[in-house]
Formats: sequence, C-alpha cells, structure tokens
Amino acid sequence: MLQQPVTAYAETQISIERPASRGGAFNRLAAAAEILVGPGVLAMLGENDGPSMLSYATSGASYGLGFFLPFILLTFAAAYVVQEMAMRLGAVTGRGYGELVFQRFGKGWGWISVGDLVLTNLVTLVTEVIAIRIGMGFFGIPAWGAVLSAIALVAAGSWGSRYSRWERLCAGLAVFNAAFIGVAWFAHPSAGAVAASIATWSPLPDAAPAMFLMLMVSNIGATVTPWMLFFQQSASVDKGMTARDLRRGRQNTAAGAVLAAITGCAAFIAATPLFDNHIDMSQYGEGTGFAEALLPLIGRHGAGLFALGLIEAGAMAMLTISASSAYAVGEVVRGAGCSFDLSPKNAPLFHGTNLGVAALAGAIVLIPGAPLMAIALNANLLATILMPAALVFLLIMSNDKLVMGAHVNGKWTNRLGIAIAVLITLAGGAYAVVGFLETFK
Amino acid sequence: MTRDRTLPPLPPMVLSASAQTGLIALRVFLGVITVMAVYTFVHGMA
Repeated sequence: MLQQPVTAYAETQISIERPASRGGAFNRLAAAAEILVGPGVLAMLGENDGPSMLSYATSGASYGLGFFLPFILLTFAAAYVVQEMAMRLGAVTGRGYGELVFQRFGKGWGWISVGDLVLTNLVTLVTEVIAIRIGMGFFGIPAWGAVLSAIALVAAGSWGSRYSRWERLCAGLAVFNAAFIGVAWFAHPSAGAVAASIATWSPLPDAAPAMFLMLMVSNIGATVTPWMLFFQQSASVDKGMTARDLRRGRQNTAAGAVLAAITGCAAFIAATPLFDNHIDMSQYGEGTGFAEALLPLIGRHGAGLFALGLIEAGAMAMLTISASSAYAVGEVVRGAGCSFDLSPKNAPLFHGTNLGVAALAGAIVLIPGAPLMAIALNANLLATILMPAALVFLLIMSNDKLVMGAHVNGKWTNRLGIAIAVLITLAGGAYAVVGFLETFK
Repeated sequence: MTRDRTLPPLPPMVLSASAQTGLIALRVFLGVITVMAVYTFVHGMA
C-alpha cells in the first residue's frame, strides 16, 4: 500500500483554479498575474529581506562595482535550482519539508532540521525587525512604533483564515521591493561600468580575507537559505499545487528569481556611491545607517526610498519567515492544523507560532544597546553555515523514487544541486575558520 | 483548498551505514563551524 500513495495523491488531486480559456487579453493577463503571485515569487522576494538588502548594500559600499555584482546574479541562479526542487517536492508529494524529513529520516533528523530552522528563523526575524526599525527611524518613528507595526502586520496575516488572502498581502507588499530600483536610479550608475563588472568578473586582489569572506558568505545567505526551502515546499502544498502544476511552479520560481535579482542588484548598485566617495560607514549610527549616509550623495528622495525599501524588505520577510516557522512546527506536531486556511481556533499552534516568533524577535530588538548591524550581517552567515544540511536532505528526497515517482531530479539538476551544496559548505567553512583564526591576532 | 492532512505516513527511508556516517559527519562539521562563527561574532562584540 505504501509503494504508490504519493503518486496516487499527486495524480488524483484537482489542479489549482485557473481560467478555462487563454483566448482573451483578460485571460492572458490573469495567467501572467497567476505566475507572478505564488510561493516562488514570495520566497525569492521574501528573501530580499532586511539583512539581505543590507548585505548587498554593504558589499556595494565596501567594494564598489566589480566582483560582487556578478556574484549576486550567480547566487540567484543557484536559488532557482534549489527552490525549484522544493516546489516540485511539495507539489508532487503533498507534504511539507519538515513532514517529509520526519517521515523518511526519522524523528532525530526531523527535530534537528526543525531546530536549525527555528534558530535561523528567529535570528533572521530579529534582523527583519531591525530593518523596519532602521527604515522607520529615518522618518523619525521610534523603535517601539516600528516593533509594534511589525508584530501587527504578522497578526493581520493570520486574520481572515485564508491562504489566498495571506498570499495577496505578501504579494502587495512585495511590489514595493522595487523601491530599490528607484534608489539605484538616483545613484546614477554608469551603464558601461555595470556591464564591464559583469563581463570582466574576476577576484578582488586587495580584499582583506576575513571581510571579503564574510560578505561573500553573507551574500550567499542573502539568497539561498533554509527557511526558503521549508516555506516554498509548504506554501506550495497549502496553495493546493500538484504534479500538474509543475510548469506553472517553475515559471513562478523563475519569475521570482529574476525579480529578486533585479532588486537585489539595485540595492547593491545604490550603495556604490559610498565606495566611490570613500565614505566610512562606521561613522554612522545604527539608527539610520545607509539612508543617512546616502543622503548627501543621492538626495532626500533617494535616501527616503532606501529607507522605505528597507521597511518593505523587513515587513515582507516578517510575514514569510514567521509563516515558515509556523509551517515547520505545525507539520511535525501530530494532529496540529497547519494552514492559513484554518482559523486560529482550529490551528492554535500554527497561528500561535506565526505570531509568537514575530513577537519574540520584536522584544529582542528592543533590548538597549543591542549591536543591530552586526546581528543583521551575521544572520545571513548563520543561514549559510546551516544550509548544507537542509540541501543534502532536499537532494536525497528529490531523488527518492518512492515519493517522487517520475518527477525525480534530472542529471543536470543533481549536478548543479551537488555543486551548490559543496560550494556553500566550503564558503561557510572558510569564513568560519578564517574569522576564528583572526580573533587570535 | 486546505492542505490534505490525511495522507498516509510514509515508511522510513533505509540509509546505508556509509550514508548515515556521512550525514553525521556533515552535521558535526556544521556544528563545529557554527560554534567558531558564533565565537567570532561574540569576540567581535567584546
């Protein structure tokens, strides 16, 4: 009986609702909108979060155009490979990542995976509140106001008990990720210099190893992280996707990767005037940071847009990362409801986790004297260091014929997936060792 | 559509001894570099 259950599940489920005909312009528009609103876009733009945008901006401010611009593009290509596997696994099996690890690898590995996720998610959520606090601080809003706004947003996501409503709230916020394109415009980058940095990609000869490795690993963690796997797989299930929706899921994931790459690179480019003008970022307080530093270089409107972009990046990720924690906990506790379609009364653990982790992160940010920027950059490092474990399980499960049937990984997906896992492991290990040894100097 | 929570549980995957060892070795390695990274972070704050 257990030899066929998942394939049978995938093939007997109805597909997600879609227009019956593609004939009219309206239907074509609806189909395009459907591709742009889905777990793939939400995961990718959700990962263009506060620490990620601060990481891209720090790279631009520290090294200017050059190594990091093509590197960021490469990380988004890697993110597509990884997220496509997560989407496919969710759509074909009808199960979330945590649920599958528990069932196929046992409780030990299951709890370790969920433990990694909850830890990295909590640290990342702290940084999302930091981003919102920094962004709102530019407009004179006090820290407690920023924290309350962040928690209220997550509560609003739970309200209504509809996955589609929650998804639209995220998608509506995600549009404002484009604010960073506006900031890059105000920075007046040279198109020739941007093209040259991509065409002549080469290592930075004069970079200090520890700082360079920290930014490289931080940028990897800004694009490929454990919460994205958990989130996209679980949200694909919650949306009702099945094996018949794989093509649409791939389009949605690719659209997310392209959109997120554009805005991520825009945040990087927006900060390059700081490098060009030899601005020392350490002179700026952690209350307003980049927006304040950019103010004399790109003007009030550009700096204000940067602050708005940070608020959006943090807000969007508050929703998706809290949801990722809620999915993970809800999936592994037997009998617990695990869907935005269920009310808080019917799924108290799911909604309680969703709101609880956000509230805890908010409380941590209000601790006086907390090193906010250092926490923001290190959140991505932690995500990168713990990512290989999640990637290995993802690769094994994506090749598991019992659950994936004909939808197991192809040869090239496996080659790319293994290469990504090895490179992330090496980068995380190199940073940890070099940084550790530097503390003894 | 609410996700289907009535799916039958899947049987545990049988991992070879070398696969189990590999997973444990990766986990130990990641644990060690996590401790090193956390130490570096805390040292930087001091």
